[in-house]
Amino acid sequence: MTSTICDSSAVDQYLLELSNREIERTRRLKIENTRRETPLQILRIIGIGFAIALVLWALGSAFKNANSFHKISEILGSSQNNYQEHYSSSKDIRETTDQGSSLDQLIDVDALLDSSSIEISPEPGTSIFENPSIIEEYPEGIDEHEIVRNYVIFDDVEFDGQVITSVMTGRNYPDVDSEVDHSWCYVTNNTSSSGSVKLNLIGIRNGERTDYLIDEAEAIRFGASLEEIKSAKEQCTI
Amino acid sequence: MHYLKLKYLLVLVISGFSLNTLSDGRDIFNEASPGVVYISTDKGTASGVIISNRGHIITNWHAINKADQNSIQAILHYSYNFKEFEDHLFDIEIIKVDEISDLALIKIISPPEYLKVIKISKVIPAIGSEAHAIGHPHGEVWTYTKGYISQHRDDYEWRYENDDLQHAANVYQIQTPISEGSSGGPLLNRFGNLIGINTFGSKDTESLNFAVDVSQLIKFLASN
Repeated sequence: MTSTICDSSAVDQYLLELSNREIERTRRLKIENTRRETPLQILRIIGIGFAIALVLWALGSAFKNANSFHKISEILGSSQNNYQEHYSSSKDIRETTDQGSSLDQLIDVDALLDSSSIEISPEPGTSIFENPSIIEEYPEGIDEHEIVRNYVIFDDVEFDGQVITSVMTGRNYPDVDSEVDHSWCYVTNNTSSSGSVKLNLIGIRNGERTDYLIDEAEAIRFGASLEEIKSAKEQCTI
Repeated sequence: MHYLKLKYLLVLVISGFSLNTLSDGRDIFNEASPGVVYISTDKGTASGVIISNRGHIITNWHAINKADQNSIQAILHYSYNFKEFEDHLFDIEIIKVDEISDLALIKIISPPEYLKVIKISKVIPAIGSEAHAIGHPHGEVWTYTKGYISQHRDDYEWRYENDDLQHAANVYQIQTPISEGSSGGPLLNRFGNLIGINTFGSKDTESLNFAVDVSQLIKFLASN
């Protein structure tokens, strides 16, 4: 029996080399595939995340909107008396209720205006604020004492200043039969670039007179000279 | 495959809903701005809200109180860029005022037929609800802003700078930006309906503004 020993190491080496090459080729393909697919994977994850976020947001919004309103408990009738009865306290008009409806609840403004208003048309050239007699002109059957609560009369004295053109005096009457409860005098600068600027000069409340402090800084803020403001103050009719 | 189709359909539907919600501000402005008027007087300018087809307009008392009534005029939104605004300029009469709550009801003497009315909601929005405003801050006509109801303040008292008169009313504290010229303009809910009248704000603090609320407005309209 003769045994022959073959040296196959070269073949083994060759096969090992082939195997290593396949492994390397596979690894390269994996890397290429990963590189190619990564953006799509990221997009997919973002898409799913976005969809989940949208669903949660839509559900949250629906829930929030369903609970976002308080509702006035009383339905406004066309009768003003009913209104005053129901709405005498502002705290009573709110009630926490769920508002599942997607519709708002509206007021019949025309009915409200018809039931309440006395449309007063002052004479041309007059202001409702300046002429209390206008307020007293109500249709027959309506007691003006129940309607007129208070009013203000303004005196407008022309003033020839660089900035000040008039000196206004206001007098507040708590009701038609009462005396003045407070009055005040002021001037207005309508030439200011930031809009109309008002400066109070004198106030009288319950007989107590207050002469407001007017110094150089106040004059600069108002936009007129201190001398002009002091001259204007002398025109106050209170 | 069916699962994938359903998933993408769901995403599309939800996206559609979200786009619809995002356009709320635009819808509200487009719908409500024709109901906002520019009020011009010899003493200044302000905003107002048309509340009836008969030409009734709600605004602030302080917006018109010093003005000669003959000088008060309302300009409708059709003169958006103030071209040919004379065609949309209307004389006004004062119907009633309440200086304490700082509200005034005025009326276009000869109202046109094409008035756009802003409806008044009777629902008081909860704190945190959206609050939209349209007005003319510093003469920047028909400006839209959006914010939130920050708080309800019942019987809130305030006084204007250099003014002796104490005002008091139920108001919303709002985060919606308003400024001089916005006075008398509408505060609107998410449906574009009126929930308050933009009235005053703090000069020292940002986003601390106030609007007379709808309960006060209804009381005023119902009063004689």
